[in-house]
Amino acid sequence: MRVLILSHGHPRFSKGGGEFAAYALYRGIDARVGEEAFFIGRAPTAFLAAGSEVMAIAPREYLIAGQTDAMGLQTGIRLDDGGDFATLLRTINPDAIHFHHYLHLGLELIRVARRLCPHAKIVLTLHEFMALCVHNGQMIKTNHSLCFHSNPLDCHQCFPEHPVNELFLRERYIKSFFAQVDCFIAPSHFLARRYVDWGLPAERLHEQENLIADMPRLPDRPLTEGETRGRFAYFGQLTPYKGVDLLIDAFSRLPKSLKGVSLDIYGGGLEHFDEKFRRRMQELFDANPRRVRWHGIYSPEELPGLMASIDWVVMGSIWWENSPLVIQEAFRLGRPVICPNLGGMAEKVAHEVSGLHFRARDPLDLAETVRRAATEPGLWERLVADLPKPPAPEDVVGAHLALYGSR
Amino acid sequence: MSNQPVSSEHILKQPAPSPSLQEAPATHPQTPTTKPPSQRAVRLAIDVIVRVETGLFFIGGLYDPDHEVETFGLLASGQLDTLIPFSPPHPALRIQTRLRPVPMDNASPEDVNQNEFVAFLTAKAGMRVHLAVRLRNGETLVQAYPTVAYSALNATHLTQLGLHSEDGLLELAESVLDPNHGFTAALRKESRQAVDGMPGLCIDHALYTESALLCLYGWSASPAHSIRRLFLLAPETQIELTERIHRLPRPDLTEIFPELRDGEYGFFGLLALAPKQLSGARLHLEMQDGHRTTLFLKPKVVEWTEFAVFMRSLWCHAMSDLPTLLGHCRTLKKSRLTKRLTHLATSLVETHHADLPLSVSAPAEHGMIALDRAWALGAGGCLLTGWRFDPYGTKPRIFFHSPAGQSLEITDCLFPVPRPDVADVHRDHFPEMTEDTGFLCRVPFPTNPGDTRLIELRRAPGQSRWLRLPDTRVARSDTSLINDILSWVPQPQRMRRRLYALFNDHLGPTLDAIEPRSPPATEDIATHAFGVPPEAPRVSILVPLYGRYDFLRHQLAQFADDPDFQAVDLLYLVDDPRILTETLELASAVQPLFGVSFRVAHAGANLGYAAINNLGARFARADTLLLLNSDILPLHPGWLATLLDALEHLPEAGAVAPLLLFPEGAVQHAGMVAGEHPAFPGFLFNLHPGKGQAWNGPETPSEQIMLSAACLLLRTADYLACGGLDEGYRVGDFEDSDLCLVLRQRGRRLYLAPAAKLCHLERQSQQLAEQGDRRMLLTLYNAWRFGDKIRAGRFPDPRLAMEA
Repeated sequence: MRVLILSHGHPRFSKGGGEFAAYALYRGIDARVGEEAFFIGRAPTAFLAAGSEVMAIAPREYLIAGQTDAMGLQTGIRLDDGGDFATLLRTINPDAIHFHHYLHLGLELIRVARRLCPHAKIVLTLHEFMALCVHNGQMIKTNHSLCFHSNPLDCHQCFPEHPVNELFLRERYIKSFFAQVDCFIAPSHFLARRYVDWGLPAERLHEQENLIADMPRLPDRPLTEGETRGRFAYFGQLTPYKGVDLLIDAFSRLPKSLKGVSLDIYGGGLEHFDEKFRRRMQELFDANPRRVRWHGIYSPEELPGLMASIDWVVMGSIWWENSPLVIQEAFRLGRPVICPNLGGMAEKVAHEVSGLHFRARDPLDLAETVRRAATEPGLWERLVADLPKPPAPEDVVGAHLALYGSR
Repeated sequence: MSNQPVSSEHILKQPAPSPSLQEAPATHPQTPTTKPPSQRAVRLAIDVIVRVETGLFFIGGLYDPDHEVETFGLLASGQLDTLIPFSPPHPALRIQTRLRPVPMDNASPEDVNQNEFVAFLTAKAGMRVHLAVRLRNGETLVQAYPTVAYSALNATHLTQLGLHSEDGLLELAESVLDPNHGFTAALRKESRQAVDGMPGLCIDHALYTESALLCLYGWSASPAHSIRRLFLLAPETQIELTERIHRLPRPDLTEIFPELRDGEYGFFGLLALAPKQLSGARLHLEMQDGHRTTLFLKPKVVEWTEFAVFMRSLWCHAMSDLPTLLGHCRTLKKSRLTKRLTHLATSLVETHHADLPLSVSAPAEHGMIALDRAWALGAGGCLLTGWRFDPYGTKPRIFFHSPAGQSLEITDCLFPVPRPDVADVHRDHFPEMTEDTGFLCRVPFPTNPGDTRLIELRRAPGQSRWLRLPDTRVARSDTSLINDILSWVPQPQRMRRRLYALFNDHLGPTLDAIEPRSPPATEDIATHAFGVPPEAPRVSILVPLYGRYDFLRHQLAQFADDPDFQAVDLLYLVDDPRILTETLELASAVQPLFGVSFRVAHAGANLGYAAINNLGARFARADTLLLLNSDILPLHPGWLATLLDALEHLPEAGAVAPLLLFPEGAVQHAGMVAGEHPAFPGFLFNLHPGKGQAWNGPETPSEQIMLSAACLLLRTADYLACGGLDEGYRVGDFEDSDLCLVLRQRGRRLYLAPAAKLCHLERQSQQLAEQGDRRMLLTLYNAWRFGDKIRAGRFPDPRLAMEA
């Protein structure tokens, strides 16, 4: 089977969970005997040769031009049979075309794929809620309160500059392309439910976890005499939605008497955000030098080494999340997760079983949870013992191939 | 004495009859009477008693035809026995008397004599005096009269006194009073108005042509305001001239009579009179105070040429009369005179037109008026805008003249509109000025651009000011012209309740007269085909694009997966040159994506909703048409087949429309009716029953009064037979209602097929009053036009129930 996987970015240039998951799947399928996989990652136009909309960067890997905004989700590349994308499709001639996301790529590629490869199975993995929410797909309102329902009239309250009619047009336009998709994949039940509520046909929606690279479980971090499980770490982008500021805030509230409790922050991406947010983050780092350390960006290969030196993975997201990659990685490496009781995180991390929940957006509750995690005897050991095992990569690949094959 | 040409032969000056004794209140209870007052002929009256410090001036008269009076004089302080006789004069009395003829009703002036007297009585301040007569039969008649202090004399008194001053009052006053006394000074001033020896009425020219036209040119020694009436008295006729003569200043007289200054002493009149009306005619001038002057009229008979030359020298007065005369002539069928007058009028106007002003500011004479715009609209007449203000109530009549001598009075036709800008400018001088000084006026007088038209302000009696019309550019484009005109409707929101009258009387017929641009020639229309056109399309869909072209993308995304669109001739009609390039680019970018074939047509101009659809219909390939708005998206496939099926099978179906819903799911259109809007009484609007409600109706088709053309299916042949959409509506409001009613007029029925459901992204609906003024006025014009066609019986009244 020839499988083409399209991602909204290439992980060489864009280090997001979605890109990694798409790329890992491509590698996983391509590694199988008898299967052949191709990867197309969306890249900024500057990465491409002038006048080209597609560029091969490896025997089976391509970059494709495109840059959609959250409102339009429309590609700017040629969609006719003479376009580079059409040529590429004819060259690859895939049996299955798997879009890992529609953002940046543009919705129209789905229909081009359908036209040029009428017999190919078209699969779309859903990441955040971009189709449902103009607010970067986060489903939190522009006033930062949580959003439970996508609807043009409600969205207009968040975006008064977009008339209801335009938001309606956007939804109808998106759905006209989703109608071409044979099969949707939602990595979490929570995400699937939101899309079904929005109008996606449930029978075409499959819940399937992303592919998580196989990594041997780490030994427990050895403790020195009298030390507790007090080392917490955050892995991920530093965005306003991820709540890193909330994590630092919570750690700053811990009593001074609580010794040996610290937060390591691994990740970058601050440069994508506005000055105000960057300054706030810097002030938080500067104000909490004793408990909080920011280490900057890391690559996936470094992750086991970094997790070996900590006890807990902690998340602070103020939005719902889908199926955060870091949760699966933490489970695979043998670290329990402390996360908000929200959406995809609450679904993946079972409270008191594979981790601890705190009340989302509440630094006080998080501080108390951290204090408990660091001090309650036997808690860490109990949770570690019950960590779920993420599906093996070959099983995930197999499940995907099964979806591609069935029509 | 005058060296003016004076053709008067006989001048009479007569004091008016004084108030009669009988009519005066009896002031003395002991007055003995032996003969009933009505049977006595004697009359005694005082015109005025003026009180000064040292005594009283009397002016009055005694009428005694039967010589009943033994003596007459004064009674001081009611002492009946002490009569201070006039003759022989009492030592306290200085008196002048004389006889003068007095005209009486039913009596010839020569028959009657009256003693007029001017007297001064030395008297103490505050003394009350009565006039008394002792008759030969021993009776005494007494009359009281209120005295007026000289300091309280008003203009009427002074005019009266001035009339007497030549008879000695001034002389008397100067003899008994200090020469600087206020009373003598006032008398001296007033007496200048009536100089000894000056004629009361004078005709300089009286020209009569063989065409029975009389021209009078002359003057009177009294200013216009003191003249009550002027009439022509012939043995068999009496013709009132007061309103038919023009008063005019006569600076030439001032040289001779310096007193005749600052007033309109001259007069001019142009009268159609038969020769027999002139034989033995006299001209009578009657003053406000009753004085009369009469002179015999002996006009000089002249050739037309001489007559016309004279007219030219007095053109601005002649122009006022010519239209009236022409009207008169038409009834008399005097074709020669008509021709001459027409020629004269035309040449007068053409000679003087350019020098005439666009505004008049003469508050005391004609008020103020200014013309801002005058659109010449050919057969549609002329639309005037401007403002006027008449602070002193001079109430001039306003006439609209053509050079050929036709005129229309428009005094009562000016439609008042708010002009706060005018009030702002003039408020310093006229604080009472309201904002309603503006006016709009349609003059239903065929006027082409460049035609000479004049406005005359005619103030009784006959004084006129002339204005020319502003040279208003009439835009070549109908849309620009309409926008230009509507931009001159100031503050329409302030007169919402009057707008219907404004449209019905002025704007509606005006705008109706503006021809819509003619449809573009076929060779001027470009069409571009995208994709492979279907071989035998079942339906041609016409979608106009204006402003937004991205709807094309959104519609194609929805049409793409609907199998019905395999047999559709889809035509996008670009009615907006600004978006043509983008539309064509988008079309070629997305056609391969969606695979729906379509054409894009444009005429390189903005034609308007009706015209662009009519253009599209010329290019339609199928025998069924679907008019479709670009902001409509289908909500399910199969809708088109549902509509086609309804049109084919429902009895006498002429047009079918689907149920249109808002994005939120509420009804946007489920058939239309017509009705009024409380904010705009008089106009008829499209109403959408059930709009905004949830759809609770059946899925089965139902007959409707009217349907929206946002999505309307009908046969191409019917569309063409109806003449398409009426291009006389502007900016798409009522074309669909109109088309629907024309279809019904032709025996077709209209159906709503709710099983077909589409979403209409109707523009964020604004209340009519919240739209811009111009947009609102355009809508109101359309509403008026729609109502007007109903009133004219062009199609059934949508307010009436449908025939079963």
